[in-house]
Amino acid sequence: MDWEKLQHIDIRILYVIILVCLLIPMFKPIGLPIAISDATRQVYETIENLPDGSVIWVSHDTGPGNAPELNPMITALARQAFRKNCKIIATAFFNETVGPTLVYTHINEVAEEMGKEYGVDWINLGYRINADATMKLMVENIAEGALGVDWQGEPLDKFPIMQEVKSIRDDVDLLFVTTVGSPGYSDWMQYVAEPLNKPLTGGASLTMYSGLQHYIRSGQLKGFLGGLRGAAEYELLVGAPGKGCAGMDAQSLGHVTIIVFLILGNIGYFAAKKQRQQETY
Amino acid sequence: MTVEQLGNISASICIIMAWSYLWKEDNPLYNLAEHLLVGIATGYGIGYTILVQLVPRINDEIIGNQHYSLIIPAIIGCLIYCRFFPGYEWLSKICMGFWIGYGAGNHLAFNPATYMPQVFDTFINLTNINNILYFLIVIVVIWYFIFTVRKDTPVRSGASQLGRYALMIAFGSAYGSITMAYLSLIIGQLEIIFRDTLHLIK
Repeated sequence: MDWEKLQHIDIRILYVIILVCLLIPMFKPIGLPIAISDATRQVYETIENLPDGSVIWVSHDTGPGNAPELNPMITALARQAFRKNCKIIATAFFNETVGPTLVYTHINEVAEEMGKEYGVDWINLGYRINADATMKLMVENIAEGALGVDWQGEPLDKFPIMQEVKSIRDDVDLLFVTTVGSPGYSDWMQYVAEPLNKPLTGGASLTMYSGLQHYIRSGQLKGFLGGLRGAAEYELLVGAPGKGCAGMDAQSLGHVTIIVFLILGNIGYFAAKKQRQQETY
Repeated sequence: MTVEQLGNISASICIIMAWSYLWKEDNPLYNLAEHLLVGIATGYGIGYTILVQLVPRINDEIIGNQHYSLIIPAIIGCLIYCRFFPGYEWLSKICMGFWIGYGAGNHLAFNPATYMPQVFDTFINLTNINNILYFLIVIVVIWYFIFTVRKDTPVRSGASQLGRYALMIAFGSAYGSITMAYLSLIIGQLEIIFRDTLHLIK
């Protein structure tokens, strides 16, 4: 057998196989069980243990690339928060083009379903340039940091929620941050969570999972939702399976496919090496 | 056709155009998608910044609240454009100087609060295997990055080698997470095409 061939398969064939393996369970779900990790449970419990009517700061610091992983987290968080009559102040510091719209769409979807009103129960402050400086301003005066307007340029004075929530220092009880890089947890920790001793939780793209372990271990991050998997686990805990759970079968089958390719590639590599050695002698 | 349907159709077409790169690099469909993304993002970004950032700052803060002191940083900020005027490029460095100086000082002032809890977290009771491993790995990885001591004895080089293996395991884990994340993103795009646009899946 020509083992060399195994290492030179046209990459496009692999793309098609992975695509098919992802699509099959989307059309015909397998229903694989989803075990809930301790980190996800901690996120859920941190929010669940807040007194009813608390104020949660939600920063959806993501762009379009990682939105499929992080959007389901925002939907599930909104559901859990509104169920406890918590207020939500939302921002999106990563991407001015899509971030504010994403956070608005996903919270609004749940708010409409649960009869929560924009400006009364929640508000979207959107994106501001220079996240670090904005965070520091908002610690003392949210309106000043937001330049007095919401994400669509509407004056904050006209929203009842902003009469109650003036500063992060005095009025916000929990920070929930979903991030894909910078600004990320280190910024929120430096300027808000650590100086004010506010609990910080949330989720991030799985690309960041290993790099965030130290924050979880040291207790600086109260739990963690890791990518689509974390979102699916959180949706289950909230009791509203959504887009996170829908993608888990496909993801599991995708992993199996990649593992099979890895094994085949390695078999091909070692077999070809042995074949070459035999031919030399 | 609703705006949402139109958005989903546009998104699906753009996804397929972007994916065409996987089949053939540098093809016209991919180039069109790339240019559309850059153009739309830039235009939207400029518009959004003017509406939510500049207008309130000038109208409400400077004119309304008469905070005229804000004009000084605004002028310093505008100096960045001097780089386009031959002979006056040096003025743009004033702006960069403020930016770098503030950034570095600010970072040093606030960073210890973030990192110290992680340092304290290594002061643990060595009562179980996890804690012992955690403690040992912290030590050997730090040892690996100490380049001023010769690692010429079996103990020194062995510890350094262990540190290297620990790092490789961490990078392997990170690579696995990245693969998993990219699959999630593909699933998200497939949902836009097959569920939101074509309504073929529930």
